Amino acid sequence: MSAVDVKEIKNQFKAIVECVKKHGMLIKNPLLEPAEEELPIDLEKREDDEKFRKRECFNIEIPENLEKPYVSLGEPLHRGQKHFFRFFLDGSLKTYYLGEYVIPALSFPFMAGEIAAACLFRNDDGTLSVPSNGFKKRICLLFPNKSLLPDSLQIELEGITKKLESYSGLKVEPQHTEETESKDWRSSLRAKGISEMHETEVQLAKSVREKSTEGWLVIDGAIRKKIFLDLENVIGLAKSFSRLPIFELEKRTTLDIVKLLARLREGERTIIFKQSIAEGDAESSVKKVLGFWYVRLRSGEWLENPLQGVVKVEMKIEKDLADPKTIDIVNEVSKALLAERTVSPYPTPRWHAHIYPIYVAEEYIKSNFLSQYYFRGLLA
Amino acid sequence: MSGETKEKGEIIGKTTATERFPNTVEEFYFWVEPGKVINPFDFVSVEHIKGTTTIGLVSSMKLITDAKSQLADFVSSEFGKVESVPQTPRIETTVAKAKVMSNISAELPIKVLMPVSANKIVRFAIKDEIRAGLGLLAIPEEKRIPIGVIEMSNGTQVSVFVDSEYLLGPQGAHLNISGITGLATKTSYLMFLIQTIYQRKKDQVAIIIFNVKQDDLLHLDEEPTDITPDDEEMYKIVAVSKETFPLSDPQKEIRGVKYFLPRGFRGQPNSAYIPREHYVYAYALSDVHNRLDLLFHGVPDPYLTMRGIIDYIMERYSQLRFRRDVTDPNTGRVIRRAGAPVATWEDLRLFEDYPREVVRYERTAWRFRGLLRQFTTSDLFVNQRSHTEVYLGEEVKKIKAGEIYVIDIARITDEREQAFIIGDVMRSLDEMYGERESKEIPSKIIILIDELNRYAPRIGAFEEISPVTEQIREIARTGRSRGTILFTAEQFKSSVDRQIIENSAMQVVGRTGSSELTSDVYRFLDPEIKDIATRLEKGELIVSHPTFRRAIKIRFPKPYYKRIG
Repeated sequence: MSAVDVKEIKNQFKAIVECVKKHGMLIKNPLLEPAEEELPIDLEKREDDEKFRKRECFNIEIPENLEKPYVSLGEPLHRGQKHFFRFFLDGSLKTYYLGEYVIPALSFPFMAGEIAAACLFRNDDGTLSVPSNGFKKRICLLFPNKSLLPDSLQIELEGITKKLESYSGLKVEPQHTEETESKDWRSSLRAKGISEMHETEVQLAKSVREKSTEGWLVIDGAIRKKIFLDLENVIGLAKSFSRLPIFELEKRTTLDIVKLLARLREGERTIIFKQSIAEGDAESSVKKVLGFWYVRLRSGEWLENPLQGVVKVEMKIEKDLADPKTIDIVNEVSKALLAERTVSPYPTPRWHAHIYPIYVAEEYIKSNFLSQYYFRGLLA
Repeated sequence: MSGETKEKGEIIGKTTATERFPNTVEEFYFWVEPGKVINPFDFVSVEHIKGTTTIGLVSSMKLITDAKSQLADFVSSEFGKVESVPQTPRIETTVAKAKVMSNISAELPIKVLMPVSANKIVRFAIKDEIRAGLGLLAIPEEKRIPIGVIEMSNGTQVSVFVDSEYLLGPQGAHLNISGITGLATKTSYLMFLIQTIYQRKKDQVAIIIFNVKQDDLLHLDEEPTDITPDDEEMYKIVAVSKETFPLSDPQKEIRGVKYFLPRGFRGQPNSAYIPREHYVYAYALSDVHNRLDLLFHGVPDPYLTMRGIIDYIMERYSQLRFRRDVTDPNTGRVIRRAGAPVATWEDLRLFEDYPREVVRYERTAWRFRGLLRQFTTSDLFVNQRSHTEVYLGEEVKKIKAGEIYVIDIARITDEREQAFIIGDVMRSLDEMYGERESKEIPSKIIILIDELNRYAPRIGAFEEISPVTEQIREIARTGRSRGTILFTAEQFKSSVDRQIIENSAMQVVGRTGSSELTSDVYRFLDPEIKDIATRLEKGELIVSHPTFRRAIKIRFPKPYYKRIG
């Protein structure tokens, strides 16, 4: 990872702002400084809720007991026996509200986003390191759909972007929303930032796995992109998940998630499920091959409710009935997750379902974000 | 990540500055590269602005992890399962704090006193950087006095020296060393320093040493038997020759060591060891009639009656005559005739004819005579010195450059007598400056006093200072300008007269107990350094000197002479 040339970023930013000012009116944030936007509370769960608009799920593993569709995992799989998880990936986004931009047809918030993703590697002795290609960072200026902007602005922005093509360092990228209409451009632009963050994660995962296929890759959160499923040995690990799913077991019994997880004991996993696909679901290609199950990492009097201490694991499973080999892998993944309980990122929020290497990846990203004071200076 | 170039030291980490722990003009922090070993008192260098280099001295280190509390570690062990093995060990790093010694630059005319930036490469300082950081390079060759060797964790050994003007005057003077007996090697260090000074400035320096322990310092002219290869290596580094102190030989005009041993039973020396060439010293009343205040120090005298008698004798000694015959109470025989002078200790013990204005009550004179008898019973006090016995005060006044007087007081069990001997030497030195031609006086006279707490103890606010303490204190106060330099040692600085300690430019601390270090006389040491002082190894010392911005840790070789015990 090369050092960020902050002067260069400022110059690029200045060029874009000057171009923007030529074609409209840029009204600075009344606070006179960029304000860091707060991301939606529990983004992970929100995204999962979005996924489970169709709530029905079905089991792809036959339970021994319909009342207790759980599998006892036994002893955790420690890296001393088999070093299962080697890579840990996380992404993060910071958005800044810089002001309002007014063009004849539209006015919208002028926003910048700093995106970073890190993929850490766990060495044989358990220590973490960042592979040479294990970190990616981007700075985006977020705009509404191109069709909404004047052509002359478009052409000039593209010209600036083209000029920077040969520059290998960090550059400011204009990004545009997919949607052409929005009642709340601020949320839409932020959503674009989130989408670009996921895209960055994808690119990073791909780049890291191309270089090394050793062990398994754990992605923080749900698997949202199809491209993740094209990679070998990947799981998505969500510490916060939707409470919408309803589980139909053998087409006989139906359980809601609270009922399913309340009786799940420490060291057990649920059987494997897949989500029923609604007609016209844009994500059907992902959902079709995405199996998921829940593992209880922790329980006990230290937890506030029975849904705490549980992680949701997503993995590519093509068949609609898991074969013994798949079940073995699922068990191994789950046992390896149990071993991740030590050490714990306690007392961070959701520490009970958080695993330490992902926490470290988060911290690594945070430590590499530019200071908010720097963003204040960009418009000065 | 590691690398070593010819000009620069080995990389050991990078500076870090946070909101809570910012770098300042006085100190900076750095994290240590995993696998690298550093220790407190290592010198490090960091590139600073304008092409300058900041030299730091590691003062403390801490290992930090991202655990927010001990509870986080408890939870991480699966809520207290001691057998649990971390799947991923916590991130941890050692963070060192370095005190800024100096910011050096080859060309820059201005001083840079700005804090070191974050994220800068930190290296082990190389020898020249250490010397520059301590300001040693500016000291002219002829003024350099080696004080020991700095040893760093990477094996670098550097000779440290001080400017003689800051140890032997006139800029600064006096040295005090303290520490636990045995482990602090106080006497050895003082003798090492004396040897280095003697070898370099023999023609300017005279030395007076009080031997207070057995025959410790009665073999200065004899070859040592315990020199190790480590010592040999350090002799080379500090450039000290392996030469014993020469023995004085007036016939061959060799100036060197003269041993002065106290007179004992039947005129024999009262010493644990009797060197082949020696002088026996004793005190006749005629020698020290003007030093009686030193002999009576510490005697309770609330109405100054005793003081009145002593002052009277000191002032009128030459005119003191018996007014009446004195007879032996047992035999009735006249033992002193009226009109006979009071010339000896025995005379003084018998003398009663004090004027009324000096002794109002007879019992005062009785008390004086009783105490005098008690204080002068030892064989050291003689009515008449034989021709082989010398008076120390007289000898001291004759001291020449290149001479080393070793005055043995080890076997003298009475601390009052020991203090009297030291006080007498000090006063004689004082007198010498008034009596001798200044060109004849050695330009520097170093006086080594071990166990200083015995002779100059710290006193309470309402206690009367003893004349001996006053004498030593006076030298500590004024010796800097005239060249009388004190090298003193004691176990506890807190037990010694504050003025003597405060007037010592160079402070040295060997291993010291933690309760002693809470005393405010150790204010010159940072709290972290105090912690280290409690666990110094034998032969390791912490040195604070006015030209060093911080105290440093040194080692030193054994002084080159036969050491006993």
